[in-house]
Amino acid sequence: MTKKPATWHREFTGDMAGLVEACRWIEELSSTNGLSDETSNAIQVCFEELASNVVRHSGAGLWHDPSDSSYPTPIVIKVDLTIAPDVVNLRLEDNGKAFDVAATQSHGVDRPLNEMAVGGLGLHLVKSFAPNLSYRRTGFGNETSLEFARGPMQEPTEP
Amino acid sequence: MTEELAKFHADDVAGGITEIKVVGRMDIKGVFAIEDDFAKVADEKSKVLVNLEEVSFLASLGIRTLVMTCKAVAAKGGDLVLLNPQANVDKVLKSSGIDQAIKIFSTRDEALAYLAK
Repeated sequence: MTKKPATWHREFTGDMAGLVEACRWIEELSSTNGLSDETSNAIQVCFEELASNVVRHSGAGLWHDPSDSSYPTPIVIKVDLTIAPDVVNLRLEDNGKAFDVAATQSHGVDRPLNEMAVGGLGLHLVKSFAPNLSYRRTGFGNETSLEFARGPMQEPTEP
Repeated sequence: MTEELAKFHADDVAGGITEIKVVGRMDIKGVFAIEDDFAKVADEKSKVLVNLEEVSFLASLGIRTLVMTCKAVAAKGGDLVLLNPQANVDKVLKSSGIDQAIKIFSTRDEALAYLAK
C-alpha cells in the first residue's frame, strides 16, 4: 500500500451549476479510488450537504445568474480531497458569509412528524458520518474539514 | 458512475394506495428533477408507498423531499411508508433518524398491509 496520500483540488462556482459539477466530481473521485461503498457514500452525502449549504446560505443564491451585474461577490467553493492509506480528508473553503458548521446545533428526528423541522437534519447527518469535523475562518472565508476512516481498500490512483 | 437523472413513477395499486417508485440517485440534481412529482402526490393522495429499492444514493435534499411529502400526507390523516432501501440509503435514513418518524418495510406485502389498515 502506498505511503503517499493522493490529493485532488478543484474550484467551483457557488451556484447551482457549480454545485452539480462539484457533486459529480466528488462522486467520481470517491467511487473510483478504491474506497469502500460505505466511505464513498459518506463522503458524497457530507459533501452535498456542505456544498449546498454554501450555495443556499452564503449569499450566492441557488439560482444566481452569473450575468447579473447587481450580484455582489461571486462565491467560489474550493475543494480538496486527500486519500491516504488510513484516512480520507475532505476540505471545503468558500468566500461566503461566516458559517461555523462545527458549532452549529444540529438534530436528528427528536419529535413527532407533525412537529418536525427539516432544517438541521443535514448537518446532523454530516456529523454522524464524519465525527472529526473542524471549522476555521480563514482570510478567504470559511474552511470546513472532515475526516473519514478509509477502511481496507486498494491503492488510490495518482491525481 | 454517474447515472441519468432520477426517474419517478407513481401508480395506484390496490386499496387506494399509491406506489411511488424512484429509480436513480436522489442527489441534488435528481431531487430537483422529481420534487414536483412528489408534491403532486402529496396533494392528491393519502396512502403512499415509496419504493426505494432502485435508489442508489440519498442525501439531505432527498430526505427533505421524503419528509415534506410524508408531513403533507399525514396532515390529511394519511400515511406514507418507505420500502426496501439499499444499504447505503438505509444507513442515511437511520443516521438521520428518519426511521423513527417514517416506517420502513423490507417487503412490499408488509408495506401494503400496513397501509391498508
